[in-house]
Amino acid sequence: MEMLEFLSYGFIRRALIAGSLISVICAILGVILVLRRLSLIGDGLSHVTFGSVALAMVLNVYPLAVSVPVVVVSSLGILKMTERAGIYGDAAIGVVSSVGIACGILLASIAGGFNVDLFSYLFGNILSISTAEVITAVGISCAVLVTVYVHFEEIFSITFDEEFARASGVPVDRINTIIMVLTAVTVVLAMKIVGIMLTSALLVLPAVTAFQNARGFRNAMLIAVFASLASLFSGVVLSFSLDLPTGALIVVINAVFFGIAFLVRRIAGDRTG
Amino acid sequence: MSVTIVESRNLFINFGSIPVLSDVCFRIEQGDYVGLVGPNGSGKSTLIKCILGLLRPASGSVTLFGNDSLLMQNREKIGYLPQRIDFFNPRFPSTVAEIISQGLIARKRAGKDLDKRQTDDMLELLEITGIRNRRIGDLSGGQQQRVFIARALVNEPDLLMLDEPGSALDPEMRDNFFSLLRELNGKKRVTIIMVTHDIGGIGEHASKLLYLDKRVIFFGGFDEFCRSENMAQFFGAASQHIICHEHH
Amino acid sequence: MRIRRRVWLCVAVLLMITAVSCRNREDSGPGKQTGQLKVVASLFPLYDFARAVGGGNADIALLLPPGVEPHSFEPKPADMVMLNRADIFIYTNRYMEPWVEDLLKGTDRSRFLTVDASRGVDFFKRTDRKNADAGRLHMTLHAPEEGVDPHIWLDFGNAKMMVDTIRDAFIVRDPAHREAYISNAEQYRAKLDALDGKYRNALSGCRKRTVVDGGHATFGYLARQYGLAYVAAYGLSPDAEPTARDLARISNVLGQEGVKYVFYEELLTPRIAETIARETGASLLRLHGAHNISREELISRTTFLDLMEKNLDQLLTGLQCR
Repeated sequence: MEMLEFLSYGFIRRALIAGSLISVICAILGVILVLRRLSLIGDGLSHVTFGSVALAMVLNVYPLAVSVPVVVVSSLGILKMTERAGIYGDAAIGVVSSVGIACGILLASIAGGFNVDLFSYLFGNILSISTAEVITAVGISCAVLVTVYVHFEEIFSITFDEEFARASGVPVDRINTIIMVLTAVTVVLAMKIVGIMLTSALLVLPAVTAFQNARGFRNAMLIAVFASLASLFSGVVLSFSLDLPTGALIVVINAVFFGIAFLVRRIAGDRTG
Repeated sequence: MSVTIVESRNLFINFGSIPVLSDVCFRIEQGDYVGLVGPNGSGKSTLIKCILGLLRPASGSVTLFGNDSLLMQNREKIGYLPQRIDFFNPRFPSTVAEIISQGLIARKRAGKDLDKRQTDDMLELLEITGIRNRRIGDLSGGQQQRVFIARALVNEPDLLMLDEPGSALDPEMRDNFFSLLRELNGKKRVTIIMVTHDIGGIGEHASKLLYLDKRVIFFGGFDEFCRSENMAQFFGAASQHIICHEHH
Repeated sequence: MRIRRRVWLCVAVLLMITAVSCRNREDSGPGKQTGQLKVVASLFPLYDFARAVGGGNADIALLLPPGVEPHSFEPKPADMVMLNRADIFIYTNRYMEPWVEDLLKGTDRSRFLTVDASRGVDFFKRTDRKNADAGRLHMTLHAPEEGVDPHIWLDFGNAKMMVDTIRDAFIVRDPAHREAYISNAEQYRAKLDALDGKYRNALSGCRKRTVVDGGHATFGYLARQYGLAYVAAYGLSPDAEPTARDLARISNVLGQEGVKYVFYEELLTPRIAETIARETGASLLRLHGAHNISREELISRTTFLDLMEKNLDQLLTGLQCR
């Protein structure tokens, strides 16, 4: 009876559809990013998104129109910094992230303060996804899934051993750029579900959950996708029945899955010695 | 008619403003088995990477199968075994099979097919058929090295670039490996360039010696090396004797 | 040399930003004429009441810049300066402006008279949803402190009291113009009475008696005054988002009561209201809580009474009173 009831609400259905798609692509990209030591890039880019929303307000433009290009540029900037300036991924992210937040604060002050509900940007608003946003999520998710599928071997090769990939003739720079662009777009979307504060979690947690027990890269991706989807579904459903904030609950369930995976590894590890 | 596989012309490589390799010239032909030796920091790995087109020279050029190394497209002709120390993250949840298949990317890009039986034979020889589905991080150092060797060999390259391949292998496996290389070089005319610290042992396998110390100190056949007065002076007669003693 | 050029560019950008933000302090600055009472008000209703009472003898400044939502307001150094130059500072109540405490700490309180406009006001405690009667549909979510509703100015009886408090403060600081202040206050109170009467008549015969608010719980006082039930998506605190269950519940209320309109508030993006409307097929109408006004409203010199008239209009449509 309860199950049927909550599915009858459009906002729940939209949350599940868009949320699922976003969870899946976050899980997939998260595996790649974590292995490349870019775990906090979700955090960094979402801070940049904060700055870009402030910029959009000053310019009096629809936020997404500013966010996507700014975040894409930032992600490519992080890539360039790690390649050229010899800065490690975490420092590059730190640079971009703090500049993003600081600019956001300055710009917000110029704009006279935040008119939009700041809370929803910080913590996500999965329950107020419109049909247009669902369609956007579908579109972007398809783009990510198709790209990763088509370039799967190459992405794997680059992630494992970039030098060997290059020696094999893989167009490393082009694919790295594509991954960064996809990451940027995914982060902007992920903010819808869990907000700026928690986007990082959605990228990182399914990946580390998978790494506990995965046998193989493909295997890791599958486990990450499963964990992420399961967390999303149960998060939405449980938030309804327990009357709790949806975004945060999704992240907590993700963490629970990680905990379970970790325990499984410890127990299994003891047996094989 | 001998085919030039790798040719280096007046190659200069810098890291920033520090010169790493200066005025390097040599020509490697098909069927050569070159031992690339030299002290630490002499630029051996750098040269390998430059030949592979991974580094841009400050001046001069390297050609690979007749093409500039930076532009060469037919990567399936090359097999590469990187030096173990720097590149590998043992926590990476990848299986042996997945890693070996990385070696096939170049081949797939070229659209060529693979003789599966030959692949299986090679894996048999390296004794990694049984561990195909194990995670790389769970293997011993020697097993891991064999996996990477397999990755280098699996696409049946015409040129093999190996950076210190024998270091992690136990003696029996090392023998297997070197006899495999001998077969590839002898029967299939695969060109081999091997970076090694074992200047004494390389004489047993290689046909040519490329001695590097930021410049080319010597490049040529072993016989030439052994007869050279210059080399006797440079290395000291005792060292020269060790190297040459191994060589036939 | 390229580095130096980049440094200059950064400095230039920083200077530009500083210049722009300095210029941003608009017309709400306190009076330049001497002899006028300098008054700073924290919220728009106080600003408007003070304007009415002060007339030409007082110059009123509103602390909130136009278009800024009061809950996310951060007082800046320029605000402290403005306050230090004032004779009177009026704020609504300690629940509405928690930042007043910090603001006052940074100023010399002996220089100006601090006025708590809620003196004598009968505060409305929002009931916990668990304790609500079956028949009443109050929804309380995540209320601040003791669950007190701070939006006192939306009860016109309270508003009259606030006008009196302001009048009294003006008289203390500027006894010379006592008669003017008394007279102005009297006139404004009459207007508030008229407004109250209008509301009472108009809302007496409405087909629906439930106000569904897709924003924060602003209109508790107003609803209580005119015998309407009031349901809001957010609680009194601006930070907590409605949960899935809350949204479901509000949607159900609309269905149960046969209400066809959802109200949304001023200045904030009406995301939740839109979600509820989308879910139930209801239409959206704006109710202005008068916390603050937008730049356009400031330019067109909108008054509190204007906003309340418009609200009545919206209520008549939303509650199907016509």
